[in-house]
Amino acid sequence: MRKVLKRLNEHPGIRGSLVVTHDGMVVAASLEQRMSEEKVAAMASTVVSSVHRALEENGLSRFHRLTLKASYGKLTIRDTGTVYLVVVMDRSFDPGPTEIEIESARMRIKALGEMKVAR
Amino acid sequence: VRQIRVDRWLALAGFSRRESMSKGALVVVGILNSLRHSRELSLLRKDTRTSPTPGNFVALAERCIAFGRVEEALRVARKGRQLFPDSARLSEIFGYANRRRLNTKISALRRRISEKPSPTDIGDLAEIYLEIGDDEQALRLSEDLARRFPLNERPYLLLGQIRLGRFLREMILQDGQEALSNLRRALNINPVSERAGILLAHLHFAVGDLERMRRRLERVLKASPANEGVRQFLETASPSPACDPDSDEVFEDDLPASEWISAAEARGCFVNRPETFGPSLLEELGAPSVPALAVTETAISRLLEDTASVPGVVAVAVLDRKASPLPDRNGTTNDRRLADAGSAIVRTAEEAGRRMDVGTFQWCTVEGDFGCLTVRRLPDLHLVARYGPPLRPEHAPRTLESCSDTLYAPPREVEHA
Repeated sequence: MRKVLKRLNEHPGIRGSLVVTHDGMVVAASLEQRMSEEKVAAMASTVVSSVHRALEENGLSRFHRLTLKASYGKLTIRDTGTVYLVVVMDRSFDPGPTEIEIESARMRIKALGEMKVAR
Repeated sequence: VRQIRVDRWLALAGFSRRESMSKGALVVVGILNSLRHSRELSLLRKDTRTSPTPGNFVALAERCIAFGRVEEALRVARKGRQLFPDSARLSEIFGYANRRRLNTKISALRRRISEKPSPTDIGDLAEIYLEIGDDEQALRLSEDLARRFPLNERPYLLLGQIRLGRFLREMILQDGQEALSNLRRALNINPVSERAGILLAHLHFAVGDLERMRRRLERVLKASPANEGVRQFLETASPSPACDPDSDEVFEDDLPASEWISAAEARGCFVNRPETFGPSLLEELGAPSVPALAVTETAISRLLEDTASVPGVVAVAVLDRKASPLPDRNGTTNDRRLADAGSAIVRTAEEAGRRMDVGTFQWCTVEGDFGCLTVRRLPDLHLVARYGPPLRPEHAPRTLESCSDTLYAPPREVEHA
């Protein structure tokens, strides 16, 4: 899983990526040096669990994609079925051209998750 | 009538009608075009003056770029960003116009750095990115500069300036603390640095640490006695008798300066408005210098109606500045459950942005089996919308931003609209 994340991080504009479970536990993370892995992982899992709860409490079902834009960065969270893929990006980064890479990383992580479940 | 006008313009341009119809035609077309452009621009300028909305600033800046008036576009976008720092469209235009102006310089510096990296070139490039408004790139280059040349004052000065600008705009604790440590480091390397002294004094002033601010400015004045701005500000802002600026007795080690910053962040507001700091470098820091405009009740109802009428929008809600749902309004829909979900999302996202060092929340889009949900931060409010096709999630933040234009138009114009 780390390999998939590292390959994704090689794309310009992507500052790091991690995988968290639906209840917010961090499975794997790979972030740029300047970002504290602990802090980002903690906050990504908080976002996943809080948004999940907020939607459920208000009669909305589970989300499968979330994009958050802040003044100096962007965060996207994709559901892979068993876990969430979280990608941290630059503010001006347009995910359009790299959308395929993010999507293929999501599919690979999904496949990895399914393999583990099958075993 | 048109023929007479054309003849008159030909005469003005120094052409006689018979001999120069072919050459003159081009000139005339040019003149007529420039007249048309100035007329269009003057109408847009008037609109922006009478109704300063993000949409009007964007329209004016875009037309300025289209007519080749990049400098004016920059001025307009800068002014617009001061009024509406959250407007994504204005930030994009500002970045684009600036990049267009500085592109040649950037590529030349990049080439020189790749051949032989020097602190001057890396610092210059970081400053250009800062001017463009690309803080992230400037931050990265300054960090790189600090790693390569740790005894140079410039990277710390740049890092301090970037972090201070962010702190004054968004009041995030980490930015304040890093501004403090980097500016102090710059002063350790060059104790007479006027710029570092003024920037540090600005930070102390904003968080209410006036004693440190006064001493810092006195040191600046001692090193550069000709700085009239600092002298005048010191005379008006701190009437208390001046003490020895070199004494560190209660300067560096009494109540730590970082605690003043934490206190300001915890309170959620500055003790002194940053824009009232005398020897201000605020424009360079990119901090908003004009307070946000007041939003009326009518305008909020109009915003709800406008957003609800966007094709694809199912439900709308408005939250206040602190993301608490606003009470229901007569005749408009303020979906309570959507407001609660939006409120929880904004609070989580705000916290995440601050902790992850990516700044303050601007917008969030959530896609699920229920359709899509977007929360957009506006200068005084948050707008939440639930929608489906034809509105697409990648376009929703911009669409919601454009719905907010009527919020800032004068009431008479809102009624008229």
